[in-house]
Amino acid sequence: MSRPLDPRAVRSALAARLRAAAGAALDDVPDPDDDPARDAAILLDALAGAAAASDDAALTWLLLVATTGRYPRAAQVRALRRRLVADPRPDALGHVLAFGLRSENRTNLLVAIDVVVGGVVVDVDFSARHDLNTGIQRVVRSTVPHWVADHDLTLAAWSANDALRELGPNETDRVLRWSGPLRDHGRHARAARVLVPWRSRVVLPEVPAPALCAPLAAMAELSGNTVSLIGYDAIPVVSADTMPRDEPERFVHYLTLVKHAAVVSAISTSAGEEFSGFVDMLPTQGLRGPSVHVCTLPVEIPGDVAVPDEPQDRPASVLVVGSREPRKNHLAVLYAAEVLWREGLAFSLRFIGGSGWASGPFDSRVRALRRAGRAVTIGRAVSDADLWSAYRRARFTVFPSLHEGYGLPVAESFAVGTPVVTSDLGSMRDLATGGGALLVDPRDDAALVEAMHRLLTDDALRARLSAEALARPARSWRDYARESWAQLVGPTGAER
Amino acid sequence: MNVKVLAWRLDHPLTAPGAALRARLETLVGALTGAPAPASGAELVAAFEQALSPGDPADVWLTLAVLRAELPLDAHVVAHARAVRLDGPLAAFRDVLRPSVNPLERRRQLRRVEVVEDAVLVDLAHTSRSALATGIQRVARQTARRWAAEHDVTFVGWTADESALRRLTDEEVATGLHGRQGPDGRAQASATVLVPHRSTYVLPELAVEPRRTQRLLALALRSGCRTGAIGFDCVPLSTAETIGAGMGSAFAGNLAAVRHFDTVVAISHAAATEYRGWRRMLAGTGLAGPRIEVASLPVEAQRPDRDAVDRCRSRFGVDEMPLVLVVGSHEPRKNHVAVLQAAELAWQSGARFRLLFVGGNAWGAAPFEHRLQELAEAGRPVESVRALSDDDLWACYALARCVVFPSLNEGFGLPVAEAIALGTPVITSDFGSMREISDGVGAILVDPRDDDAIADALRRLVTDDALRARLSADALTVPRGSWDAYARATWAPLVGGGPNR
Repeated sequence: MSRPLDPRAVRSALAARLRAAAGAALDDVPDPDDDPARDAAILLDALAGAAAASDDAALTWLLLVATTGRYPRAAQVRALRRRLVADPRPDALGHVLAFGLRSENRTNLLVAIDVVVGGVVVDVDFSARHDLNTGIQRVVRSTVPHWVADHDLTLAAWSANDALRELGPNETDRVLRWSGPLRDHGRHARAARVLVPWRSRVVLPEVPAPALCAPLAAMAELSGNTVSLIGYDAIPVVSADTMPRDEPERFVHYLTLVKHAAVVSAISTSAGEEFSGFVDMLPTQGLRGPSVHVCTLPVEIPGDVAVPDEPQDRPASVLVVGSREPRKNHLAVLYAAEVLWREGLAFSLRFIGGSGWASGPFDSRVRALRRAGRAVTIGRAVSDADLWSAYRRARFTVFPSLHEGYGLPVAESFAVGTPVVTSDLGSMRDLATGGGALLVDPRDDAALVEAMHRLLTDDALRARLSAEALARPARSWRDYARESWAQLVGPTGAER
Repeated sequence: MNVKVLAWRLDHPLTAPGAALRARLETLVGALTGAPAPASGAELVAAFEQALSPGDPADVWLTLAVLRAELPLDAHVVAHARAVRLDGPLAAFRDVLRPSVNPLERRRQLRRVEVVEDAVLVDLAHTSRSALATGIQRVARQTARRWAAEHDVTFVGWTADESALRRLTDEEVATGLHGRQGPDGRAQASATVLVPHRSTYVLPELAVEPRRTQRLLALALRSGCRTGAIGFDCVPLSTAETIGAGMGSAFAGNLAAVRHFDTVVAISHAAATEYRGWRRMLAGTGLAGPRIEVASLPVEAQRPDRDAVDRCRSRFGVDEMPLVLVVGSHEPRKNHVAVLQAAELAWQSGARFRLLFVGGNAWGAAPFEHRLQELAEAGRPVESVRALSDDDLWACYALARCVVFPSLNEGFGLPVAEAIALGTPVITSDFGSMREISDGVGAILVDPRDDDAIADALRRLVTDDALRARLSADALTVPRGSWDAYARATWAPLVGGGPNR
């Protein structure tokens, strides 16, 4: 235990939190009392009385947050509400205070709360605190700056005391003005002030960390706030065989939050089907679930890497973008390439992407091919400029993934007019409906061999698919930000 | 690999693993060609090469299963199929055609392998090992027993390392079908593993062990066998807030395999709703998923024994005040904390009844235990017993004023069905299988998240004799079905006219 707290400060902080909550939620706020202990007691009684009389648990949730300084879990809200309803008032208030003083809440005894009434709070926790810049963080850093420019909202991350708080300056820069790693190792610091949404909209453009799902689920179900989220995919539970062992476990807890959300904005038609399928399951537990919308991700070539008319590699290069993990089906690409090399076709095969997991069989196959003199290269930490250059120089891209939420390499390749061989299913097929791709069953090696053969040998085909890819309608992050906001927050969201 | 050396080794096995390999190769070639295996090692190798040279994944699956004496993983099937097409069967299977020097492999290398064709394999791995009767095992037992009476079925379990199927011993079958505890079957299990070929595999219990589900995935996807399962619910996916640690990943592994099954027969319309929702979630994989059918579980009521009724009447003070019965373990999904709250509200308003919980402890039961103790110490007539004999449980059902079962999600709410079958009214949830079983007949349907609604229903049922009598009479009119009808209703979609797809 750290140094003892000043009891007067604890009482004042409690009274201040209760007053902030009462000010936001009660019609009749009791007059302030000069003695913080008496003030807190009066406010506790008023809030508890209103919570017990209320038809729902929202005030109980707020009372718990004001008492403890942290967001509660659903079982805690229900337990307190049952006390408030069934026990004599003094006993119930004793439980509230005892709960607030429990060891896991002691670190929060001095925290202050800022109640956000009727606003929009956007939880960008991971993107704010981490330098990683892959899939979801790119979406956040491309979308949220548009939201901030156009609307009134509060950006938030999690503090170590289990509640949302406002961002620090570096964190704001990471989200709104990303220009590369800041290397300040954003830790879950304890915040002196935390945010309490009340009658507000909480938007989750990320997939929250597992530990945050229970308090967010309670907020979505019981607090009276509404929660909206961007839905990326349900791969961990649908294709568990292609994921690390713990991922499904994490994801089912994420789903406990999804089921109480109001809106899901899915990044592709196929991701929308996944979330709609989950919603279809919910009537058996008496829930309606969120309304599911689709807002397809855009692709924009960053301005600083625009290098027009880069010539294709000679001999041809075939590009494979994506982390090396079983789901990406890279072993099928290695097999197809070997068949084509044995047929005498000349081309190099270039993989770009971070290490995924379970890539041992891929690595050993690559070593064997290299020993046999095959032109296989692997780029692990490749800059954006080099990635876009590789797309431009490739004869075509191969992306025969077994399951994707979106399929970014397909869209990126199209953006520079490089044809794609991709899977005839899900989001990849959706992306290819505008042309520019040859579609194959990713479990059919012969089909993959044939498609790659055609694109390596048929110049007219390559030219036609390239033209189709370039003719696709452009879609910008501004478009995406506008449409996704309308889905997640609705037309009533405050315009700036 | 040198063909002559291999052929010579097959003709002159120097070691027990070498002899086992020869036997397996004969079994394999016989299964692949549909003819007796040739006598000489050279002909055996030639037949092996010829049969496998197209690199058909089904043949590769069978080859790996037979030569390695364990069911293969999908990644191994795919890798070997590619190797066959690139470099031919002998090179592709070099690793399995040479006895390993690894002593850890020796046990597996000595296994005998039997390929079963045109058979129906029923997997009772759990049910054959424990005399316990969970809901799932009861279904598996009742059903498998009747299938065996009417059809030719082969009961299988798994080897101790969960890598291969094997025939169950007689003791295991007895436990699997009748719940009798025999001697420990695993110790004396036969060393012969079964490999199904052109057969049907049926799973009437829940498989969640990772090694088992990974191998079932490859079996369903590659073997060409027809595959079917009874679908109990998708609670670990749909209601994860109520499950213990580890079940989410384990169940997702089950679903990854079941994606490739032909048929799931759900135990209720509610369970089918969950499975159909999950099947829609497959959209991103391009897989159609299994056909989802429904065969609702029957309701099996046992007339209570007179002695048990007398015993329970006095033990639970039924003559002093009405008995309200709650059956089920105290996991959060069963919502027993809400029952305690509703009872307290009803008691506060003057209702008189004794509340009896019958059920074991479970994950996440601490808040229930805590509140129960508080109420008991405050003098409320509430009691919790871990288990009752079947006779006593049925007696309690019959003696109860009503049964309360406000669960948050059930594949099949067994206590609802059991109470209704005896004419005891039920307070249960207004959705899912609980609504489906009673459809409001013999029951008061409530929102289980609304303590006041449960309390109100309790008050009405313990005070209103006419209401209680009417619901009881109604309950006896609910159709119950039978295990015989259920066994027939599941056999047709799971096995159908023949074992082949």
